[in-house]
Amino acid sequence: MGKVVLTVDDSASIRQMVAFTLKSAGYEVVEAVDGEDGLNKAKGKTADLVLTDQNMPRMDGLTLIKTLRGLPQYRSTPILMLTTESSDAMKAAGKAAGATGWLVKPFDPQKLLEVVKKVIG
Amino acid sequence: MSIDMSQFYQVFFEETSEHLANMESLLLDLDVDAPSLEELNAIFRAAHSIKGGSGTFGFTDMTEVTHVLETLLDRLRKEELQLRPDMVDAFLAAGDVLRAQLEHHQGGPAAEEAQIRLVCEQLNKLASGEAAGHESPAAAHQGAVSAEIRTVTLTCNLPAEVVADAGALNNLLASLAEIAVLDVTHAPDATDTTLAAVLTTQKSDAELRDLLSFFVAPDMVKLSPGGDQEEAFGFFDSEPGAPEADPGFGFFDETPSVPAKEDLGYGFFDEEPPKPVSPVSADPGYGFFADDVASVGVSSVTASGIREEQDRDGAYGFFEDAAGKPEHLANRNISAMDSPAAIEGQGYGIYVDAPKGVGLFDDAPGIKKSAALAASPSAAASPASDSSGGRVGAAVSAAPKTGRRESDKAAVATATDTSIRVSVEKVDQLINLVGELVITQAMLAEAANAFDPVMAEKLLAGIDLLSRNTRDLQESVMSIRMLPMSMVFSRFPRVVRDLAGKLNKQVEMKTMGDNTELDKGLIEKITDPMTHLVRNSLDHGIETPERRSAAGKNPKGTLTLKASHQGGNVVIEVIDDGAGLNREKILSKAKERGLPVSDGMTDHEVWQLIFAPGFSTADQVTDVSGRGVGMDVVKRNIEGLGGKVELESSTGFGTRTIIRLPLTLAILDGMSVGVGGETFIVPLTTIVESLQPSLSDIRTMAGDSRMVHIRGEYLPFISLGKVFGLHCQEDITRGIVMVIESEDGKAALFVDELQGQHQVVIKSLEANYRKVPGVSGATIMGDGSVAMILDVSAVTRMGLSPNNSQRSLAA
Repeated sequence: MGKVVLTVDDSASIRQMVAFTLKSAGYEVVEAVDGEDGLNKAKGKTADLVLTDQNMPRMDGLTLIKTLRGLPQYRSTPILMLTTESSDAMKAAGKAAGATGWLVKPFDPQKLLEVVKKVIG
Repeated sequence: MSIDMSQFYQVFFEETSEHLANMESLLLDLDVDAPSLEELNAIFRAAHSIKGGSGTFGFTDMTEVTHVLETLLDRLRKEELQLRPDMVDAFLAAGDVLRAQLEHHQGGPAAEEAQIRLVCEQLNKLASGEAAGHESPAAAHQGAVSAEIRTVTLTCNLPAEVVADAGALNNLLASLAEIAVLDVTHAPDATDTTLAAVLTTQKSDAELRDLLSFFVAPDMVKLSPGGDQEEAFGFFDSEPGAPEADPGFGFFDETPSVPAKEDLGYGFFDEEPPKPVSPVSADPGYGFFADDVASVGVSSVTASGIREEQDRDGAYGFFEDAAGKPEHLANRNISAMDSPAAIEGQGYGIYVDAPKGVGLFDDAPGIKKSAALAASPSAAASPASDSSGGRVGAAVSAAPKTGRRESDKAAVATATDTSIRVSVEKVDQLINLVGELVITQAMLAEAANAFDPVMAEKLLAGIDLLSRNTRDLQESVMSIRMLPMSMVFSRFPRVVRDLAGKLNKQVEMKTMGDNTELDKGLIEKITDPMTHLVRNSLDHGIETPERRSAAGKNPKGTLTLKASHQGGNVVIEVIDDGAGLNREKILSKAKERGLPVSDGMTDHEVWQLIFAPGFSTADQVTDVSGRGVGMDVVKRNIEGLGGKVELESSTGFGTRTIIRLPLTLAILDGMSVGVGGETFIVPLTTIVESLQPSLSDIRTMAGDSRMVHIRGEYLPFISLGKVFGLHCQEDITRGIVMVIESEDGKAALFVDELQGQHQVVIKSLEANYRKVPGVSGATIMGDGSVAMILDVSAVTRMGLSPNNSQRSLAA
């Protein structure tokens, strides 16, 4: 069975694209529509990798990352932040929150796969 | 593996148009004088999401527009700029451009290049803190050229004494802020005296150096162009003049002017493989590679940073954090570091275990702490505490933002969670079936009448229950098709805003009864007539602020859109507090046009004149209305929906247009009448009264036509039986006359008997049979027979010209 990737994004189109790309590469994908949903789904099924958007209603990506890092099963899970905000501040905040890395939007499916492969093989 | 992105487009399109609509309504609600941060954030988020999606799916034209839009919004929400009305205009225009671009991607006509450029220029100008130019493209263009706004990245190491003196430092920043829009990316402090800032200004480099010369030697100031350039970044280090190898980190950068900067204590490595490889391999003790400096995040990212990243086809990176780092990843990173060329092509940077600040530093291979701190001076905390400390810090700063968002969106989210999308066909099928059920129930009820009430008590009780349940079911099913009037009202704030601007009028729009529900089919068809009424109110109704003030009125006019339920009708009102209709003007225009008028007409009758085809009192045709195609079309459209239009007006106080619509198109309140053994349904809305005439009231005119004298009025007498060629009651005293009113005026319709009032389910006759003159549809009665629903105005016309009706029936 493929590794489980949790993708958290409020944009349905991005979610669809990420899910499709990863599924076609053999990963199992769990989708969540915002930080809170992501947290619930992350608790429900432990993911091997979390991809999260930053700018989301209800709970943003940074908060999600921080909260996930507080959970024992996510202490060392790779978490990538997908963000259009490539400012230092954002990256600093991402790092501080406990993100493993970031991927700047826009990205294409190939790039996504490349990074995901790099992180969880 | 190649993935066809086009399969995701549809979702993107839907999502984006939602975002655009959302953005527009937020903008229109925005209080320019005191914008709420929450709203600005929400607008920003909408623009931001569009940017993210359009970039991902390759709609770069939209990305460019959203990018400039976002830049300005970002400055607003960070309260660096004050919101002004012209900014809202620019945002709305940008929204229009985006919508046009979106439509283009969906196969529509191409968006106008000039318009896009104009909007972007305008936004850029506003973002740089300049007053908005004129609307005309030429002027805007001129403005952009002459202003020569540039973005410059400033980096300089300030003397320690300047940094220590807070007053001097503030002075410096203030004087910079005077001539430029200042975005300090790094403020100097004791550990790092570097000042890094992005300036958006009209001043030349020399002027900037001049200004700074009070504080720092001009040769210590580094200015690099940004904004219109490919990219511009500032780099700094606490140890000026340190040997190049010393600082312990390297950047790969595409900027050509690399060597010149080396003496400042940092190294730039050009992307071409030979250059970056050599310095790094010469000093393998510390290796940091990031070919995309923007994503490495050392000092400043200019406005062009994003575009630059797109050009490079995305960027990503990893933070390596003590707590969250998977073991294999570290190895991977280090191995990647050994082959910088491999990383280069991929467009991302890998960070290994940096102290909290920004990545790009690797503890392990002997990095110097000072260098690391230099790049991230604020992160002066000890490495041991950095990960947890950093988390807490970020948590605090992120919390208020998140909290707001949560409460903000919670309601919206729950609303979407509890609704489902169903195709209209399914709902219509449901309605159809319920209609059949209503008919069946009526049949049963009728059949049950034949039974003895005592013997069949249970059966009759059951049928009663059935009829009640059927009615409830019908109401519930009909309510599925019901949509709130806010669906219609929501488009008007923009219309009003644009028109008021165009006409130089001040108009405030109010809506009442937004939640009044109306059938979906009606909602769709009511928008156009309402738009027309709103335009009329703004153009002809509400006066200019000067004239209003002179008349002692509030210079700001009010336009009210109101919806309410009245019986089985929905009443929609368009009310303005303008000048009202001008009786004399209408009468004289009507005379000019040869309409039958007299000075003795009541106001109500005079107002009806404006519904005459081609009638316009406008002295001149304006851009907005007054072309004469107007109220008659409104009236026709609304009557086509089974509704009525009325006007009330009072000179000096305004005009009220009242539209009455049936709740739904599928069910009709009707009176069933019997003529010659057939049953017809007359829509209740058209019936004024019914009475039994005496013979003396009937006057026979020349030819065969007759008039009925009812309450002082002479109405044409139309025998329904004759119109349809039925064998009907000839004795007038034994029949009933119904006074009906339609767009063709009042008439007296003679029928054999009134049978009763029903709610009938409308069935299309055209779909099931063919078009029949004088009949708008059919329904199935309780006994299973088919009854025709009369098209009252057509029947009136046919009755008034019997020859025509005979011919059309024969056809």
